[in-house]
Amino acid sequence: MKKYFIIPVFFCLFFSCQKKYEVVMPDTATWSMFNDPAALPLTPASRPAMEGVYTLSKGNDIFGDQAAIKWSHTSKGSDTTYHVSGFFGKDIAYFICEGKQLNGSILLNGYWRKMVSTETGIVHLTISAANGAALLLGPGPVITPGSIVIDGFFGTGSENPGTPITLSYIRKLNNSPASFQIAAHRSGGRTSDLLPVSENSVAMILKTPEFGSTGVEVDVRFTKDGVPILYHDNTLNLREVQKSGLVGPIEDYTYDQLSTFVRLVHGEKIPTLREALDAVVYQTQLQFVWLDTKYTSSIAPIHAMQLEYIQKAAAIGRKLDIVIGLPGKDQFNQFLNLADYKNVPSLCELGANESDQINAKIWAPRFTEGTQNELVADEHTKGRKVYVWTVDEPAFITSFINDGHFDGMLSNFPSCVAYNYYVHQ
Amino acid sequence: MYTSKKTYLLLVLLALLAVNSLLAQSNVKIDSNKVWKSFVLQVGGGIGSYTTVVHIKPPALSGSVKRYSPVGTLRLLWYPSYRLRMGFETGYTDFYSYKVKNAGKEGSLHLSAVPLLFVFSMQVVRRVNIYAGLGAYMETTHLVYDGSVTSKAFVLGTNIALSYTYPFSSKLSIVAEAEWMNAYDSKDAALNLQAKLAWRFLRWQ
Repeated sequence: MKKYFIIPVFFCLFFSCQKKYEVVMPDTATWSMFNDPAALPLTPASRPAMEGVYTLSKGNDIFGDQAAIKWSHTSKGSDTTYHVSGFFGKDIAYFICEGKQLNGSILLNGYWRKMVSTETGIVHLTISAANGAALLLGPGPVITPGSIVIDGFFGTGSENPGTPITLSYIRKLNNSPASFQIAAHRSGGRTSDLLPVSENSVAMILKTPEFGSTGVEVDVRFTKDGVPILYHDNTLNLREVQKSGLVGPIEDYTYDQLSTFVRLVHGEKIPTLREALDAVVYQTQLQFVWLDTKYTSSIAPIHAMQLEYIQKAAAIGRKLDIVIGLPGKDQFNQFLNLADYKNVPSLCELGANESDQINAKIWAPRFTEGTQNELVADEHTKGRKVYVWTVDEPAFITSFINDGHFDGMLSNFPSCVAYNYYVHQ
Repeated sequence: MYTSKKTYLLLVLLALLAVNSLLAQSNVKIDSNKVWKSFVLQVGGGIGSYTTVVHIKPPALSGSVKRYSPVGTLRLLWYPSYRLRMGFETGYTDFYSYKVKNAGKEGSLHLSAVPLLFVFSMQVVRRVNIYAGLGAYMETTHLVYDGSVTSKAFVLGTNIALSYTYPFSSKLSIVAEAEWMNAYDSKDAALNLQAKLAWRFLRWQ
């Protein structure tokens, strides 16, 4: 009988189950108070006044002892959407809510997520009139420790929130160094981290301010017909796109072919660089764009677009740095072919010497090199900023912010960088 | 994660096959009392059915996805004096194809695959063999839309098969086989039903 044993074993092994990880975004449109027709938008002054470092007296077993609360917004035409984000110190947790006022109270409705797991759920928060809403909604709010108390509940999945959480204002957000950039990798985060939108998509660029990002790194490649697009890998594969029958290098296809046949994992089109920069300039308040050149041909077309969008941002009064990222020798050598390359804003991932050679605006060492404080100080004396990449481990993020002197940090977890930067004293 | 688990499972399977072959050497009757060492070439064809999901959606898709296509296989096996045989398999199949119509432009796409697999085989009962392979599939997109594109990618993959062999002579047999092709990196899989000729073109004792 031994020989027959092999057959079921064979099939069991081949067809064995695989665990599929997914994050199901909870439906946040179920809070009747928040949906009350009498609920009104918050006053413009109340949002920045609410920003700060809060201590948690309830819910701290899940989220940690402190939170940094920060507002962000995106615009489309005359419509502006505001979100308040709470960044926590435990398990790269955050909440993202919308805010309204109702009968003198402030209501915050949204979801929470932990990036170290698939845990998520609904969160309902309230600032009563006596706990700071009257102050925040009044004229010229002056906030002092303890003057704002946010009370509420959170739940797991789509269940009605029932676990209490309480946050009390303790101080303003850190803003030193003031120009510190929280740069989000792949336009905001990786698809593999089970975010609700795809990496390197316009939707992610519009989403990433909610994660605390002040800048984005995008991956630039060219289609067969010379259209610069955002795409990370060198081939079409299921990590980034839905199955469509198109395989092989993305450079084999025209933009029209990709636009017709290919969708990113969450259904978005692969964006052109122009669409991405339009979104950054006209729909967000992002201050920094890192064009990571994933190709080895001429830098000139990207440089032309860089200049165009720096001018467009300046024309509408936006402070926006757009730098050409040079990850390797091939790109570096192509960069040297640009006329006046020493005056082209660039970010060099090679050594400090190469950064000197091209007068890079930013030197970007890998995180494995450590804080390198002496080298960083040396670069600062040359007027050069130093951004470290790609830092995802929370302990490293904390250490680099507390012990390093970097001007920016690239991460797949901008919410973790935001927490550590804003609570830093 | 997907890749490493499948690979691990296949390695476990192959180990089981090897152990089983050592344990059961004496239990199987073969058609001849003579134990021949030989090389066998299998050539055949049949029909394949693509079995996994394709996500293409309107407006790109103007009709349905065609999931059935001819399949051909070439397999070279070494039959040693023990039960676990091994060899190499290649062939050709179209996993799927579809037509598109978008903004007045029409086109078509088909995705073909050439397996490049190291295969192991074992007779489990008289004339019935199982096969398991590990290697790669060379997938090729043939796209006609806004020009013509042929683009290739190598993806890791496996196959398993179950066959019945009916001998015509000591050198020639006919084989009926059901085969599961699984290019697991691209989550492309097909079930093939094939008829083959098996030619023992070289043998020795």
